[in-house]
Amino acid sequence: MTKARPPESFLPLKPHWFHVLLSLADQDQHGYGIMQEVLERTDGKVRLWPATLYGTLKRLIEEELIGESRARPAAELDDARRRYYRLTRLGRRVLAAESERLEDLVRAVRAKRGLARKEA
Amino acid sequence: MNQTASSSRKVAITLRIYRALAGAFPYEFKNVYGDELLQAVEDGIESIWRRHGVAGLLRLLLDVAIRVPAEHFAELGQDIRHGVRVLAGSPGFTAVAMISLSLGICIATCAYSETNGLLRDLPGVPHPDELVALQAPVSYPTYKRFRELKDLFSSTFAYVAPVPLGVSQGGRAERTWGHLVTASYFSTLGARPLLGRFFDEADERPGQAPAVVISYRLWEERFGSDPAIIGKTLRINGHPCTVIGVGEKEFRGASPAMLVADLWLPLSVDPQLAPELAGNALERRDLTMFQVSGRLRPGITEAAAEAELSSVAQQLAESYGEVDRNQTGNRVMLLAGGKILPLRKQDMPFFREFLMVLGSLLLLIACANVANMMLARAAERRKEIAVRLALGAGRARIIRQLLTESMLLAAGAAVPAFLLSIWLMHVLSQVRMPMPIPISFDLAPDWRALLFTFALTAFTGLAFGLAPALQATRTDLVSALKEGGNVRLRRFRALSLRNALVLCQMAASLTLLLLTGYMGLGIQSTLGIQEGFNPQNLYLISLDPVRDGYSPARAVAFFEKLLERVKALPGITAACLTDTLPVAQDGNPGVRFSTSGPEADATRGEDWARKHIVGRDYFETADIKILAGRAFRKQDEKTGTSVIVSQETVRRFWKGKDPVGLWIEISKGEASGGFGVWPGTLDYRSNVLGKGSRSFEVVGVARDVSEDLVASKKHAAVYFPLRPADYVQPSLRGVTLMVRAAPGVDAISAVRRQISTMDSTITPFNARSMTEHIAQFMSGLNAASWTYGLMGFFGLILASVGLAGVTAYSVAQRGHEIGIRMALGAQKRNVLALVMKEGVTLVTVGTAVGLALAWAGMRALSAAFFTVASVQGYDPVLLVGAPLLLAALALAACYVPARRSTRVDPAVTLRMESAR
Repeated sequence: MTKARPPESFLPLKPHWFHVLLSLADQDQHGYGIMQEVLERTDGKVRLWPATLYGTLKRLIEEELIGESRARPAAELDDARRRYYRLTRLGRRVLAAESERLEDLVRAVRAKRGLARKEA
Repeated sequence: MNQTASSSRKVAITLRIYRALAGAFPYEFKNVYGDELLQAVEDGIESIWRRHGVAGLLRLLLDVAIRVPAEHFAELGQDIRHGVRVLAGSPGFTAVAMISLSLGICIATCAYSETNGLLRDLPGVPHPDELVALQAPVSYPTYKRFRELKDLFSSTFAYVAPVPLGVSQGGRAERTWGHLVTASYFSTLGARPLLGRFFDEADERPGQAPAVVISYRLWEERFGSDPAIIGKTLRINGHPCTVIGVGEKEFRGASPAMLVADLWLPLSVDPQLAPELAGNALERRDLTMFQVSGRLRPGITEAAAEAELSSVAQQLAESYGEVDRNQTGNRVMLLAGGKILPLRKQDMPFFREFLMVLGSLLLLIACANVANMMLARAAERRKEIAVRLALGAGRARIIRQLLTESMLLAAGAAVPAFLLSIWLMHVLSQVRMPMPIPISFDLAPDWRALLFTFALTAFTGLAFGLAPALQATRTDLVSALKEGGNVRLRRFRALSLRNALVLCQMAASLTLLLLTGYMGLGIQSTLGIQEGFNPQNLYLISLDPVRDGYSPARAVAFFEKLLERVKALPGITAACLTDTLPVAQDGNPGVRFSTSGPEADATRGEDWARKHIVGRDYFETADIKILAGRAFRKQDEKTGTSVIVSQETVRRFWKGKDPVGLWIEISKGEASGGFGVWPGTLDYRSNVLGKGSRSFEVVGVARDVSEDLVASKKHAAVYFPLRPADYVQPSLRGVTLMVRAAPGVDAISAVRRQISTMDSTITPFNARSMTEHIAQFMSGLNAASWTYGLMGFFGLILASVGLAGVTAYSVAQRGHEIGIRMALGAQKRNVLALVMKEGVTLVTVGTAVGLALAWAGMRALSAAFFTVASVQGYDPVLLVGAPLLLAALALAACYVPARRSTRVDPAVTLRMESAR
């Protein structure tokens, strides 16, 4: 058992990591599901390519931010080959810390008046 | 429909390629994520195709192509971290292994650096492989004839070397070495000047202030890198010369190792400036003192060039009317002119390989040592490895991990090894050879040696890591996991890999120990006491007044007066001038002599003897007894027909008959045997090189003096009187003043004071005591003897550690078995006997093999080194002592852990799982 690292030591979080953690915030997911959700969430701007994704998942597991989930969905939706991932407690804390950091950044940007934001 | 068909074909192809690429992922990654990954790709590829087209497919493939090596690297990083942890966990083993490897790699790197340094190309010269050099020097007319062979050479040059020159600056003259060169010297070599220019045809015209080119080193050391050096005047041998150029930093001349050059003068200079050129040296056919080199035209082989040059030389000889008695006299041989050490092209491989083999042997022993230890440790970790294999680790991964540990060890050892070899080579380069001229070798390891060390490290790591790694993973999982897994009383344990390695270790270490002991002892015995004269309280100081600017007549007068004055100094009991010294291997060119005169028995045997040119009171000063006849007297210097011979000469040539009063004929001096190779042995003075023979009368017989590296070997010698002509053009050693003082008197300072009182511009050099001189002479041998001693000592350490570790371990491994036996009622001593029996067998066989190898090695060595080591028989102390020592070590290594195991309560042993 390696010593637990404090959540702050993971900041700033790599963008990929953030997206993966965010996807797992609400529910457990399998790899493909994560890819799809990130794609939709960002309107196609961020695409997690498969090999990179699984590399990321491997690293996240090593760092104990995510883990394998025991819970399986209902039988008809399940695919035995897929593995489901979930956030660990540490993962949640790290996600929260990163979200807060990002919110602080956005607040700072907004505070700077005169910066027009482009409407999509 | 077509579009979908073609699009689905593209997708299918992409999928196939993807699967193939993903197959290259590391085993563990594939195991865990492989299926999922492929599933995810299959799910998503359609949408990727639709949104991004071909670019998307390519991006997909790129993604996996990048991740595959990234994952491998990540695993490697893990392996390294793990390996470091494991090694740090057993510091004893790690330290010992690293030291062994370090020394092994260091020696191998040193051997490589040495061969590399010696076989390096000439620095500062483009296309050095085109250059060839004549092995033997020739006369200038011969060179001019060779120069005309335009179809052979694109250009040639000739030079005289080594030439001592007295360079004065600010009143002080210093003896510097240089070359006298043709104008084509620099252009043929292709060297470029750093400042100013080199010689051209204009400089060869006589009658102007001679031009001189200086080396970078001289410019830096003597002139402080003065940028305005061009055009300045330099006094050389008392004559003013103008500096016209400075060589580049790396350029050292045509033969930097043997014929050091810091100055270059054109051959056209006044003979007053360069006494070597006196007596029409450029016209004479008998003064073969010009070294010749040239660039071969492309397509001309050396053999063809040699053939043509030889036939031309033969023609020349015939046209002069000279027929050489021995036909080989005109055979021209070529050497590689572009290398620092000019060797014949066919000699180079031998030279290179010999050193490398020696170094590699030592490294091999170190590797075997470490491999042994690693085998032992790998066996220890069998259980851990079995568990990991069972849990799904790939065998390749585990092997890679074990190999990583080995590589880490090797890499950790390589760094200190390389640093150590740099230091050692530096020390070696400083060893001064006992020659009158400096011989410089730059043996510092360069980037090539670094690369070599690197490759060697990798190879070493593989070599000693692979076998243990393979063996460790070849475990029978089931039996390894069972508790009693280590107790398999294999019947053929005797030939297990570990035992075989112990045998090899034993044999190799014994061989190394015996051989190095043999060499070391042999050398020690020859560094015996110098016989024949009394080296105590004897001092030497050399002078060369002509280089300081003296005219010949003045030099003669100076020496006469100096000798008189020195003899009169208080505390000085005897003094003399001499050219040659009692103990020196400057390669006095020998002389051929034969009986002459009206002898009835005209059995004109011919023989060869060493030549000595000594002053009047030489024998008295050196305390060499005259056994018959007399020593030299003043009139001998005038007539020049008297010689004194040594005892050995009488023994060999006259068979003990008294030769005093007999006349002998002495012909031109020629070098003999190995002497021919060293520079400074070829005496270029015209009175030496001139052909023809003269008659001499034997006036005395002197006692033998041991003057070689082997103290007990006797030499035939002939002594000639030192004559005024010799003061004028002394050999490269200069004229030496030999002085015997009363004990405790500082003769050197007294003589120096006397010289500077007479003339402060004269610079004496090489001031030393005879004991120092002898030590210098022996320095090479001493160094060799030390080296062998060290190698033997190192071998002993290696052997001890290796043997101890392995036997101790294998015995400890049997602890379980011992426990069972004792629980079943065996007596302690019976069990001990059982274990010792195996140990004794191993040691005996190893000793036998080692002795056999050593015997063969000693035979080979004694043939090659007979000049150096005079150990005739075999030293009994060594032959018995070395094996006994090693055997004792090995048996101790067996005994201690065995005894420890018998002491432990069997119940404890049986309960314990496999060894710690």
